[in-house]
Amino acid sequence: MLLKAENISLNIGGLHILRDVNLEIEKGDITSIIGPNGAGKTTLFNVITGRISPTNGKVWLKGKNITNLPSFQIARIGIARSFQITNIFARMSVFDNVCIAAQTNFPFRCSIFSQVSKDLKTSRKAEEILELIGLKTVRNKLACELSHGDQRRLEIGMSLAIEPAFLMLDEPTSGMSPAETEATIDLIRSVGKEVTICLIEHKINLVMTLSNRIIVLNLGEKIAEGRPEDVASDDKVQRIYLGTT
Amino acid sequence: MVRFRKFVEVAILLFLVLLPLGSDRLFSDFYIALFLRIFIFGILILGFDLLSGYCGLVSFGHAMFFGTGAYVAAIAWKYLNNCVWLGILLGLGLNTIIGYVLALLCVRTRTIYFVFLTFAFSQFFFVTANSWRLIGGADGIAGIPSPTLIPGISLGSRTGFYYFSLAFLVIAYWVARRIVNSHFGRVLEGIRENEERAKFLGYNTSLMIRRVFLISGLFGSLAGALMTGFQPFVSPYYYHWSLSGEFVIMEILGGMGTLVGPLMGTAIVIFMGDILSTWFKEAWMLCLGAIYVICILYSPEGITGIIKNISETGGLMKLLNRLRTN
Repeated sequence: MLLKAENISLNIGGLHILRDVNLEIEKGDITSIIGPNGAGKTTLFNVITGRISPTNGKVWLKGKNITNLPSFQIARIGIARSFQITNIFARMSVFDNVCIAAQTNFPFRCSIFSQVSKDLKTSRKAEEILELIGLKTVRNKLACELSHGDQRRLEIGMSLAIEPAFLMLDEPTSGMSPAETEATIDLIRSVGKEVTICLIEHKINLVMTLSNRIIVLNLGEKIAEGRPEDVASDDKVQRIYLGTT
Repeated sequence: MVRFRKFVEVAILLFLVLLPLGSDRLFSDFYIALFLRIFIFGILILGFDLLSGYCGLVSFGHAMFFGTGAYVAAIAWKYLNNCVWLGILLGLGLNTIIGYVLALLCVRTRTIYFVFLTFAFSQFFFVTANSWRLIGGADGIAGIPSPTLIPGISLGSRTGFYYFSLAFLVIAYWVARRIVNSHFGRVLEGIRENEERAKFLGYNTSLMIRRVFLISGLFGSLAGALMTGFQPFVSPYYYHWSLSGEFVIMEILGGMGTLVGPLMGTAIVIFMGDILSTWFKEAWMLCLGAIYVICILYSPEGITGIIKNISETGGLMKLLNRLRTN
């Protein structure tokens, strides 16, 4: 098992944002988390990646307890994430954006004495990533000059560049055109062959075709879990989220 | 672009090396002193730029490193030994401790809160220096002997100290350039752009900020020690917030995050201070303030921003063409 979350609860004030959520993610899976707005999906991501400490519960990655670790350490251990709102280095070139991520893999990742210009390892890795996400032609543009879709792909690329064991994508296709969405699905699928992925999505078609496991959250509770077809036919899920015809 | 920059760097260095040859013949010794001040503040500004320009944290208390460097050098040269290295190294040592401790506290804040916290700490130093009789209180320390390079070779002559400071400026520039071009430098820019993203890529951003804060302080310390070597008198003014403010103006006027820009900013502020103060006396700071406001409004990227705009849009060629047709 790659990731295990046990009895995750989060209370803010008197509000139960998450209640006893259990999560087990196997290596190689593509898991989707779905649920209505305010269900606690992003909060669950935040708890796992160390942005928020849970009130209760524990998270293990590769058998290591990562609860309450600072987020940068969790990233070092192997979780990369993208954000609901695009989070990139806006006024740096696309290439540099990927390079900052790629250099984390090497011992000189934040050394004062190594020179960027003499470092071929990072640039090679960055080129690979740019090739993969299809942004090679715009490598010298500033990240803020890219289209929204390209920016989101860049963010996925950066997350990949740190060579994570587990990749968490928060609404990777939000705000994308159908064509961009299509390209992103292909990207996630090809990446999914090597990396375990967990994503939050609202586009239900995408979720159904892409993932092999689905978790449904509502009001901070897990109400269903299983293979896509099982979840889709679940009464409770239909009532709360998918809607009945 | 890099080759062009190298060419300009070498040309300027050559000019600065040859400059003292003309003193007394072409112009007065006074200009040597002016350049000396530019070198000294330039060293500090290079460090300041690493923190403010590259990492995005504007400090409003950088005078505390400058002042400490100056005071320590003054005390060391006056009471211990007037070897120049003793003053510089002791200053660096004390500032390492100060920088380390203050970084632990300041790293908790960002943006305007960081500005105010650094300001508050530097005021603490100012008040201490101003009221502590042992280090001269409000009178400061006077009668500091001119330092020696090695026993027997004095740095008392202006030209000698000019070259000494120039050497340090060149080293400081080289070091700052190397830091900027290092992997650490790239992470710093990342922190400036988006700290959260850097954190989630696995960087201990607060450690990085602490590091650059300390490095930046050491540049200031060196500048302070050189200032004491140049003017054998230190006063609590070296800790004053208006000096910290001047550093911010130099930085922004030149263009943050370019190293060369803030150096130009330093030169401009010091030259202007000299020219304007002969005309307007005390009121020259008003003019500087006005220029600062105009700069913020119309060219937030400072002088380097203007130069970049002109060269990118071909504005210079247009200007030349117009002159030719006229």
